[in-house]
Amino acid sequence: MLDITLKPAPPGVTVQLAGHLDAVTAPQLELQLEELFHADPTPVVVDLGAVAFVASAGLRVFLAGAKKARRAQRVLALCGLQPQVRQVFDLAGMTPLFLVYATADAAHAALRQQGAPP
Amino acid sequence: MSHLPAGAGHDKEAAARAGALAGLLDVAICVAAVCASNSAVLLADALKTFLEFVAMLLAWLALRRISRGASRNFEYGIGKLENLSGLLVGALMILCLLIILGNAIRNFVKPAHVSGAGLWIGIADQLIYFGINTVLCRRSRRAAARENSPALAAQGRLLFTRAVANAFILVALVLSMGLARFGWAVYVDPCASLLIGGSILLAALGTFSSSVYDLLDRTLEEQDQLLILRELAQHFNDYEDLHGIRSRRAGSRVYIEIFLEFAPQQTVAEVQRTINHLSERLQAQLPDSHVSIALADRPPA
Repeated sequence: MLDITLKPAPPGVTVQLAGHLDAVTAPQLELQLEELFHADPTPVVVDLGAVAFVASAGLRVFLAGAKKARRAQRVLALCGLQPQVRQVFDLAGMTPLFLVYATADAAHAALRQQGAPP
Repeated sequence: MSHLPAGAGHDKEAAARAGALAGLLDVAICVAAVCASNSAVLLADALKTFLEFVAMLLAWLALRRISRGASRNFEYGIGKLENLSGLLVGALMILCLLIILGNAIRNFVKPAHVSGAGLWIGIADQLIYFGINTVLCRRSRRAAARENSPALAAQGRLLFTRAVANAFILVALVLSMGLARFGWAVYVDPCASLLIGGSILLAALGTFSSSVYDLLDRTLEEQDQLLILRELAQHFNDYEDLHGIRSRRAGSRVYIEIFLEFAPQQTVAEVQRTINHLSERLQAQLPDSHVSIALADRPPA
């Protein structure tokens, strides 16, 4: 079960996730990210604060998402990673591919200051 | 074309053949013991041993076929023969369980003290085969871990249940003979049979789950998926987009397909270099794996 909530944070958006990100729920996030990359908002900040478990299927969505964000000249950032989720990202060697922040507010503030470069 | 490294196939085949031969000898001794005694447990053990021998034979034949290589009719190899063999072993285990249950019920309904010279043959047989099965079980488990083979893993589980069964039958026979003056001793045999049945049920469930999932092309386990993602993350700048990853098992073989898009300005040599490097790195980390990297500009159908 994965709940996805979009929270506008002009000029970007926060994608707030709650639940488990596994083979069943990963396609939901994949679809949501693709829609956002085709739309205007950037940066896209994915808040994983309420996600307790990320399976390889979920990591795959983030890896493909990082690629698609780069192609669409969007910024994809992560925030609120719980220790066990952070560990999975580290194990897959994916942490360096993303800008990672403590909270969504901190992410948007930092990216606004940087001018949200693609 | 053989799909096994030189030597590895021979090891697997030799282990399976040794198991089948040991099983055949055990069947002969068990039948002799049953003929010279009235022990229901020995009868059940003889039937179980016969079925186990058939299972060993199937594993050996499957490995023999695989080690000789697939013909042109099986260009992706015949690794699934190992999964089918594991499935048959599981079915035979269930059959064994039913026989043991039937014998136990019969002994509970019509209890009788065991007697006859066959008991001594049975005790000697259980003692010797307990030692043999323990040694073969260790060998099979080591080979299964080394070669990631479902058939050898199933054989290891089978040998373990056989060693446990040998020990229980030995204790049951000794107690039945030693405590014959007590009325309750007639229930020792069926009780021991039920305990053996429980261990066989557990082994059968394990064999079924691994073989069935692999036959249904289950994807790789999470730790292996993380390895694939790790490599793709390390090569993040070498490709343009990731359109999908698919994996499946066929026997001990692992097949991985990765669908990557490359930038149009990259030369064929650059793309080939990335593909070769990724494939080699993954194949080195995932034993018995075959990695295909397909050029794609959309997700696979």
